[in-house]
Parts: sequence; C-alpha cells; structure tokens
Amino acid sequence: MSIKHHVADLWHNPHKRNWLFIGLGALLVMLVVVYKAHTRWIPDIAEYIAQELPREIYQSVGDSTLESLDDEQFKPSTLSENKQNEIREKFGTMVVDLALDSTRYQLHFRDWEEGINAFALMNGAIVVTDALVQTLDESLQLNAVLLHEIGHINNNHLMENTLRVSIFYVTLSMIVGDISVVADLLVEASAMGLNFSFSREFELEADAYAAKSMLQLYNTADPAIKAFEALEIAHQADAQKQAEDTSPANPDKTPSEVYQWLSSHPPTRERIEHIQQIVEESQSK
Amino acid sequence: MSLEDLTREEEALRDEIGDLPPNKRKRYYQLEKEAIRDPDTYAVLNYFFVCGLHHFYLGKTRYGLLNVFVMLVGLVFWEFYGFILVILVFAVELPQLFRSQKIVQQYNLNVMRETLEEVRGEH
Ligand SMILES: [Zn+2]
Repeated sequence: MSIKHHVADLWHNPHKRNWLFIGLGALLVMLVVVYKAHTRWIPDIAEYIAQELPREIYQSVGDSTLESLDDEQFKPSTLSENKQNEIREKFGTMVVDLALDSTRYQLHFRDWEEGINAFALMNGAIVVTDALVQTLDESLQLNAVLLHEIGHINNNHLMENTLRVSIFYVTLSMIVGDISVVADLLVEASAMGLNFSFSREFELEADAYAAKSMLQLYNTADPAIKAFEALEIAHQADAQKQAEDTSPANPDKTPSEVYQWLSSHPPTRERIEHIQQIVEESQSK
Repeated sequence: MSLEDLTREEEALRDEIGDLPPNKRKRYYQLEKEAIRDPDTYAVLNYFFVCGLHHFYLGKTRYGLLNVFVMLVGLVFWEFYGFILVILVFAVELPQLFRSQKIVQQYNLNVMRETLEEVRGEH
C-alpha cells in the first residue's frame, strides 16, 4: 500500500482513526506538560525549597565547594595586602550602603590559571581572580561585578539551579524508571544547552540587581557596561592566545556549583542592552 | 444496570449469535473483532493522561476533543487559575476509571447488537 492509501485508511477506518486521535492528543498534552514543567513548575518548586532550606546547608555546601576549588584549581592570590584591603574596604562600604547584612558575604582573592573570573558560592563567598582585579582597575567597575555576584547570592540562584537540575533528574528517572538511561539523557540534554537556559535567566537577573544597585548607590550604571566591555575585550584576547597555543585544548574545568561572571551565555551585547533598558526604565519613572 | 445484568444480556446475545447460520456467524465474528473494546485499555487511557483519550477509544471523538481542549487551556493558563480547569477535568474523568468495566461492557453490548442486526440484514 502507498503512503496515500495508509493515510486514507487511517482516516476512514474508525478503529485506526480513534488511535490517531489518541496518539495526537497524548503527544500534544505531553508537550505542554513538559514545557510547563520546564518553565514554571520546576522553577517554582526549586524556589520554594531553596527558601525553606536552613542556612547551615548553604554554608556547608559553599564551604566545601571553596575547599575543593582551593585544592584543585585556585592558588593563593598574588595581589598585595594593601590592594586586597583596599578592595575589601570598598566592598564593605558598598554592602553597608545597600543596607545588606554584611556578615553574609565574604570576599576572597585567588590566583586562577584560567584567568579572568568572579564566582559566587552558596555560603555567600565571592571569589575574584587576580586577573579580574587587574583588568578592572577602576573600582566602580569592580563593584559592578561584585554586585552581580551579590545578586546571585541574594536570589539563591546556585541552590535553585542545583534543585532544578535535581528535580528534573528525579522526575525523569521516575518516568523512565532507569537511572542509567537518565544519566545518558542528562549528558545529551546538557550538551544541547538545557542548562544554559537556566543560567541565562539567572545571569540577566543578577545583572538587573547590579544595575539597580549601581543606580541607587552611584546614580549611574555606566561602570557596569564599561566592565562588560573591558572583560569582553580581555576575554577575546585570552581566547586568541589559547587558539594560538599549540598545547592540547583545555576543557572547561569549572565545576557547575559556581556561577561565573564570564560564561559565554548570554552574549555580552545582550547583557549590555538589558542593563541599558533597566536604566531607561528607572529614568522614565 | 448492574454488571450481572450486563453479563446476562451478553449471554442472551451469545445464544442468538450461536443460532446464526454458519456463514453469517463467521461474518459476525469478523465484524465483532474489529469493533469490540477492551476495558483495561480504556482504563489505562483514562488515568494515564486524564485528558479524554479514553473517549477517543470508544469513538466519542467530539467529547474527547473537548476534553483535550479544556485540559490544554488549563495547563497553558495554569498560573491564571487554569489549574482549576485541570482539577475539574480530573474530577469529571477519573471516577469513570472505576466504572470502566461497566462502561466498556455496555459499549460492547451495543456493538454486538448492532453487528447482529447488520449481519442478519445482509444477504
Ligand atoms: Zn553571573
């Protein structure tokens, strides 16, 4: 039978037509359920649990993350005591000016061979690499980056992200019933950028927090944009150097339990436009 | 009608089918095989998505489409009280799960009766 005949048969044979409707209905409802779970239900549940979890869990997870990073990737900072204290002082003033709880955040300086970056950890630790401090010599630009990291911490982004991935994992293993299949699926899904859509949303939220705080403190968000531009230029120079390097390519070694300032998503231009939009909104008020 | 009544009616029908001449009886069983429905399949289709797929199974296409439509609207507008629609669909459809044996048997009896009429009318 030709395909045309098959289709005709599917429609004219009542029994087969019933199953056609069943199949299409199931597919449609399943697609909407998956979409809703991904965009609403899982994020909402993760947000709720993240709020309910006791501080001690954040503390211990963050502590152990920093420990393992210190063991495996970070080296002690080469910045002078003076420089570190100067930055710490400005950071402390900023936290107080924003009426935040100053015991919640600690600033750490580290030397990292991968170069420019800033990380927020669950325990409120913010790690900045020496290369970042050296690239952003203007203190307000550095503050913009630190505010972005505070944004991640205040919004529980790390815990929420971890919970989202876990809930996704558990749900999938309940449906599929086999963990190894789920693990394979997860590897594929992360390769397809499932995680990046989570982090994109969080990055923009942290950017928004930084921009609003800059406006509140300094009446301008320009240093944030300048910082983006400076980091983008430095990042590209870094990438160029690595491309010229003949040694085997360095795989991405950064663990997933930290948020990086310079992830490749979302693109810098999008983030700058997003900040400009926030500035315009605040001016029109 | 209770399940026993339905079974009794089925037995009566089976006797009538047995009285058919052999060629017509063969024809009857051919048609019946296509048209009869399985209560377990019906039940699974009911609780698996709870969105009216079991109606399609019994050929109630319009009712099934309405059901899927209401379910989809409820899901899409979940956060704007759409969940009430979903709960409503569950409340209306899930109880049928417990009556699936009876619903399908009733359906099959009608099918048997119609098929018997059809075969009798044929030359
Ligand atoms: Zn970030």
